[in-house]
Amino acid sequence: MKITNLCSLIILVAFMGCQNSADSGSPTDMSVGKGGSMARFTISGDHLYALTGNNIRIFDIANPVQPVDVNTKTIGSGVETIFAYKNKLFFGTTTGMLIYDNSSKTDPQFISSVFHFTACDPVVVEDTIAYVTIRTGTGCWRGWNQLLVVNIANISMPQTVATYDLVNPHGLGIDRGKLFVCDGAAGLKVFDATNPLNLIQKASYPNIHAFDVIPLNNLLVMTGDDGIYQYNYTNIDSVKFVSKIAVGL
Amino acid sequence: MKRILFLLLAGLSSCVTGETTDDFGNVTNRNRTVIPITIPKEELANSVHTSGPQALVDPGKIYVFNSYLYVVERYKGVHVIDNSNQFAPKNISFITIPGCVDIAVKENTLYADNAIDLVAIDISNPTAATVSARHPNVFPPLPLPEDVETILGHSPDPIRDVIIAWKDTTVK
Repeated sequence: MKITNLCSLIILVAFMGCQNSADSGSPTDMSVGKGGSMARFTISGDHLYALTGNNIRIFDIANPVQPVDVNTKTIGSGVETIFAYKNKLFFGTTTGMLIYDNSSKTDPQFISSVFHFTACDPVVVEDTIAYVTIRTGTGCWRGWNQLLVVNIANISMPQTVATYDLVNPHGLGIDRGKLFVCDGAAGLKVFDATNPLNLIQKASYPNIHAFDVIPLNNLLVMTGDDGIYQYNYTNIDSVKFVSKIAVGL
Repeated sequence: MKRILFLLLAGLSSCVTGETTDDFGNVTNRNRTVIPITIPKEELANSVHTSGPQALVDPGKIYVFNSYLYVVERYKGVHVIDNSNQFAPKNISFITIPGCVDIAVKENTLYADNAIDLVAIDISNPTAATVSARHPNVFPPLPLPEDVETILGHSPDPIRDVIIAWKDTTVK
């Protein structure tokens, strides 16, 4: 949402992140499925991690129907969103992101804090590259609309290696080198990200207005304000409409 | 009606008028104002149940798992969509979960925030999903919608009541 009011930004900064716009990219574990990457809680393997204010609570879900509370750890104030990727946990705040090593699964350890992206910025990760969209009109005082390509091979020293100007980006998703960005009024943009340093825009669909995308097994599931759309992206030069579940039906 | 700005918003609440536009540049409303909807805390424990399919109204987060889509109906619950035929997805049931904004799935279990509680819901039979575990008081109070400027109404008693939704209202 674009807000032309200073006070609202202050309220947003004080009370919340931008938790509805983030997206996918995390689980490779097929027993877990795919969903938003920044959230009040997330799953990594046999554990569920819940943000509880200043703390994180860790539940063992080896038996999924009966979560067992196994640990509580203090992370710090202002943490609003969490996502997991491989052996890392990322905590989003309004000013940056905290990265924890999660090899132990039940006792995450702080590695670094970075300020390339914040709780307001949807992030997806594939291998050693994080794709981040930043936009104006959030509570994080961004003055520009861009897609950032961030090298996180050295997790304690993330480096922005490329930037692309966009219109008003929201959710994004990546699946095996195919990158999908919801770019507000400019619609859905599809990139070949085989070489992350040189993204090639393969197509744009100005009529597809969505807030969030989940690409999984050649099926793109998208949330728009008037319903849920599905597209097939087997051929990214020609993304094909599959179906729509309309709001109100 | 007596309206009291939340004390927790003291110092932030005296906002002047402004315009809110949607993501495509249309003016949607001015001064979006919400009131908290609360229920007594003890009612949370019995607030989750499954019923027949309902129309999408305000879809939020989506989770994709196997041949199902799980779609959050903001603050209200989760639509279960059978997506085994992607060309004709079928809305098969609705799980009422007051205060829900977030979900995740592992195998036969859907996890959701039931306001401040974490619930595990057995979805082996998605038309008869039932709570298999509940952990009370895991989450902080329900986050505000992204573009809210003013909160009206009495500040809820955090011991007795729990916020399950933010409802739009107009200032008179």
